[in-house]
Parts: sequence; structure tokens; C-alpha cells
Amino acid sequence: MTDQRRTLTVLYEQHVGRATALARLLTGDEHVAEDLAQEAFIRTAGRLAHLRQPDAFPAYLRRTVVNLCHARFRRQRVEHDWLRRQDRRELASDPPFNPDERTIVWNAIESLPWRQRAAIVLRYYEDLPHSEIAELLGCSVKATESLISRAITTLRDAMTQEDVR
Amino acid sequence: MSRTEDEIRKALAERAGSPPVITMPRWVQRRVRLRQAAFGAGLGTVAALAIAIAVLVSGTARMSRPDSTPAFDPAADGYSSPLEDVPPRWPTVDIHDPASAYVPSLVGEKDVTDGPVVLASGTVEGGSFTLYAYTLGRGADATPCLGFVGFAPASRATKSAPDVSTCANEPAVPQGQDVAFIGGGGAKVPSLEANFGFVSDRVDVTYVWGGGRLGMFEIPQLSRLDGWNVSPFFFVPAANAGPLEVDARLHGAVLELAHADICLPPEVAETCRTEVVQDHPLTSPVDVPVPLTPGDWPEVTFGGKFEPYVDHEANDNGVVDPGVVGEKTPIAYGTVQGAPWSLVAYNIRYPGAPGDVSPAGDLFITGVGGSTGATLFDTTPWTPSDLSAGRMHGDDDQFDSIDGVVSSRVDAVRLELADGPAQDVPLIPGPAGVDARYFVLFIPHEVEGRFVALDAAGQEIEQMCLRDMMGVPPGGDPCEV
Repeated sequence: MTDQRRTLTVLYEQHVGRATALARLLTGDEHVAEDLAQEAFIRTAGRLAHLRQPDAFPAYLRRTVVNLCHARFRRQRVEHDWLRRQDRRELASDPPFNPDERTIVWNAIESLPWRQRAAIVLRYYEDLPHSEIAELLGCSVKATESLISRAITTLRDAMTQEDVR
Repeated sequence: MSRTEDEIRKALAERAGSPPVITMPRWVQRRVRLRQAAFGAGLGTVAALAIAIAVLVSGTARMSRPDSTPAFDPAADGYSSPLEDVPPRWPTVDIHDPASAYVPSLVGEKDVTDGPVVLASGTVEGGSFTLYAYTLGRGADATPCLGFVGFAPASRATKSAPDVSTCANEPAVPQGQDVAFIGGGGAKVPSLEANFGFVSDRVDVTYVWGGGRLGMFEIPQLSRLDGWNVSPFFFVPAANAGPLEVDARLHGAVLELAHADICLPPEVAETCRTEVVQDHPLTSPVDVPVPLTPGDWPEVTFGGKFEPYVDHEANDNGVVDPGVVGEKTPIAYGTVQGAPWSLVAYNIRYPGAPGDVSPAGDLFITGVGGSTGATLFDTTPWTPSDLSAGRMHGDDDQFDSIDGVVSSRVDAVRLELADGPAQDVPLIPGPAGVDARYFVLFIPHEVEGRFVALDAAGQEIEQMCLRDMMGVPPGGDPCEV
């Protein structure tokens, strides 16, 4: 195995699992997450020789995952239109949805607008500071704090409603 | 940590699971190699790798391949192309040296003024093809055209296959829409359907949904002939692939320009065309900002002969603009350093706010590709707010963009600069049903100061610091002016 292939293999094994988990939280879809994480790896590794800080590969990969997931959300209107027209037999091949797998909190997270959801995942799963989240989402720190605040309020509301029941 | 935050952490950790160690599929490695080649990262190394892998797989070429891990390597013939970089489970494309391609003769076609030039030739799952370009007419009447010959079964010569063509004036690209294409090649080999056509110069990236539940994949643009104002593209999708979308690539985001269903196999007719939906009006520019000298204030205009952009988002359930009560309404728009901006106002559901809704606003700058937002009631724990603003720091380091919203108690907003005079900020009324006023401002990065909200008596009722909006840690007294 050449040095280049070995480097790629090591990078892949070290980082794609985590990238897939992040994409899973951002998209809520196992299969899409795997594809997006691999696509992100291909794009980031494809520019490996040109990265300003090759040691920061995980950060570049994370940014690419977030960008790809965001792009996917922006295209969901087109994708939903298409899905509705899909052959039902093909969709039926997907594993059946099991509501027991999802908590009330997760359901509420999935219903958040994209930027709020991304801010929550980056804050409470990736443990990133507000400044890094702001950079990833392309907004100010104040706006990031606002996104997280609004999301927490929505999630708390969902949890409270469940407690009342 | 609050109970809510604790529950959020647990829910995310449970959903994410333990990240497994995944072995890299060979097709991933192949696509990385193709991308490295595209970025010019050591072509010699790439060629050596291609030869090494070709030796490894030479005995298994054309064998049935396991799902998403093709053993066949199109680079094995020593000629590689971005067209070979296809999504998982799509037909395998092998591009050959154009010098060996079949080229149909256009001699005698009196209107042909350039070409034919081979853009791509080779095989798709063994079916041979040639894609060629030519120009009809001259000067202002010059029309880019594409011809496609294919697919010929492995046992037949390429020239035995159907020859179909399309030109950029049917329908007109770029005058009428940002993309146009046709499908062809399905008559002889119905399992394959070539899609080819043109995109306008506004288009930076073309996506096709991979199929099933796969994500979108980028389709490369091909080289154009002299004098063309459009770029050609070509792909052969899997039978379950989804729609095509063309986007303008902005700084950190994309802007959807148009989309269309694609032509899919089995297509028994020789040609196919689908309807293109133009999402972003041709009259709405997507220009990037004009460069700005650091420290200078950007040039801002209001209004213009284009439609203001309104950003819409969908959640996992397909709900568009979740939480928004009523419609997002553009209340102001214009350009900043030549790039279009739009300020959109709406109510958002916010439990605890008066009427359980809060006025909110989004500022979107098309050329920068970012947006910022402000919500009047957005603090935790909830407290009424009379002034809220969001600030976007552009990736291009040219200027910052601010949008703000003030309550009906606010009579005026003043901007007090650390090293300049105070100035009133024009307030823009919210749309019907939104009880707030808005403002928009574009400033150099280095500017320090604060916004002050004044009531009708001229008393300060709330302030917001510019530095604080950029996240400068407390202690530096950012509001000191």
C-alpha cells in the first residue's frame, strides 16, 4: 500500500464514523447520512494537498458535512416533490418507521428549522463553542445564541407538553 | 446545566450512537483520486496509483460488482475524466481518448460554423457513445449545439446508434431559462438514457439526486466552444435517480436557480425532454459583491428592477418554514457593493410572547450567500425585548451586514459610533399583522459603537453593542463610545 493510500485509509477510519453520526443528527436519515459523510470525505480528502492546515482535517470534514447537510435541507422542497412521485414499492423497501426509537426530544429536534437544529447539534453533540458554531453557520455569535435560545425554548415546550400528558 | 439541556445531550448521544470504525470502500478511494487529479494534486502520483489499481483489478473488470463498491476502474485505460466520477450504483462510465472517437460528419450542413468537436466518448456499461459540440450560425446568431450518438451495444460500432441533437435556442438558454437538456440513446440500449444540454453562465453547479434515498451529486460542466455563452453537461443516471437542479454557488451556500425531472431508462423513444421550473427569476441578479477597500463603508442602494429573494427552509417532515406564522414578506431590498440583498419580515411562533408570536426578520445577501436574523422575543429566560439585531460577518471580509427589529414602544433607533457622529437609522414598517419595525445596515468590520433604541420622549430604553454582536467576550467594555 502506498503512503498516500495508507494516509487516506487512516483518515477515513478515524473520522468518517464520527462524520456519519453528525450527518445522522443533522439529517435524521441513516442512509443519507452515510452518503453525505462519504461525499464530505471525498471532497475534503480530494483537497488534502491544498488545505491550509492539513492537521485540521477533522475540522474541515465537519465543515463540509455541515455544508452538505445544509445544502440538502435547502433542496428538500424539490426532493419531497420527487419522493411523492416515487414508486411506492421502492419506498416500501426501507425499514419501517418505529416510533419507539425516537424520544420526544428527538422528534422535537427533527421539527426545528435547519439553522436551529444545526446549532443545537453542534453545541450539544459536537460541544463546540458559540464562536465556532457561528463560523460554521455563517452568522454572528449573537445570532447563534439566539438560534440556540429559540431552539431550547421550543424543545422545553415540547418536553413540558409531554410532562402534562 | 438545565434539565432541558441535559435531555438534549442524552437524546443526541442516543441517536448518534457510538461512531463505528468504517473501512474505506474502494469506490471512495477512486473518487478521492479523481478529485485530487482535478485539483492538480500531483498528477504523476495519481497516474502511478491508477496503474497500481489497474493491475490489482484487471482480473475482475466487468464482473458483477457488489453494491456501491465497484471493482471496475474506469481509469484503467490510462485516460480519466471527471465524467467517470459517478454516484454509487450509477452506470459505470469509461471515457476514452477523444482522438479515437467516432465523429459524425457535418459536412454539407450549411449552417455549421464550428465543430464537430468531441466533448466525451467512451462506454457506459459497455454501450459506446460520442458526445460532440458544434455551432450553428455566426455572430449574434451563433447557436451552441450538442449531438449525441449512442448507445451502441458492445457488438456494434458507435456509428450504428441513433444520433440526436439539441441546441441552446430550443428553449433558449440563457435568455429564457438557466438550463435546458434532452435525453437520448434509449432506443437501442433501453437500460441507458443519456441526459445532455446546457447551463447558463449564472450556474456554478449542477446537481442530480443520486436515487432512492441518496443525496445530491454534482455533475461536471464540460468545456465549451469559442464564442459560446453556455456550458454543456452530460450524465447517464441510474434508473431511480431524481431531479436535476442548477445552483449559483455563493460564499458558503448555494442559490437554487432552476430544477427539472430528468430522463430515465427505460426510455424507448430516441429523445426525451422534461419541463424546467425556473426557481430564481432571470431578472434577479446573483452577482458577488464588488471588492471593497478595508475600512470603507459599502455602497448601498434601495430598490431595483429585480425580485427580492425570500429564503425558505423545510424540516424533515417537509414542512416549509416551520414555526413561521403567516407569510415571509420582503419589506426592503436593494444592492450592497453590487450584490442583491433582501430584508424579509414575518411572525414566528414563540410561546410566552404577546399573542404567542414574535416579530422576526431575515436579511439575505445573494452575492455573499449568507443570512442573518433577529427575533424580538428571543432571550432565555424569556424577557420582553424592544431591540434585537443580528450581524453577519461575511466570509469575504468585506463588510458586515446587520438587520434589526424594534417593538412598537421604540420611536427611533440611533447608531452611535466610537469614532464618529451619531446617526439616526431609518426604520422600515413591518408588513400587515407584524407589530414591529425593522432596520438594515451594512458597515465595515472595524466599526465600533452601539445601537440605542429611544422612546417617544427621547429616553433610551434599550441598547445593543456592535462588538458584543460579534461575540467579543465581556470585559472590554465594548459599548464604551
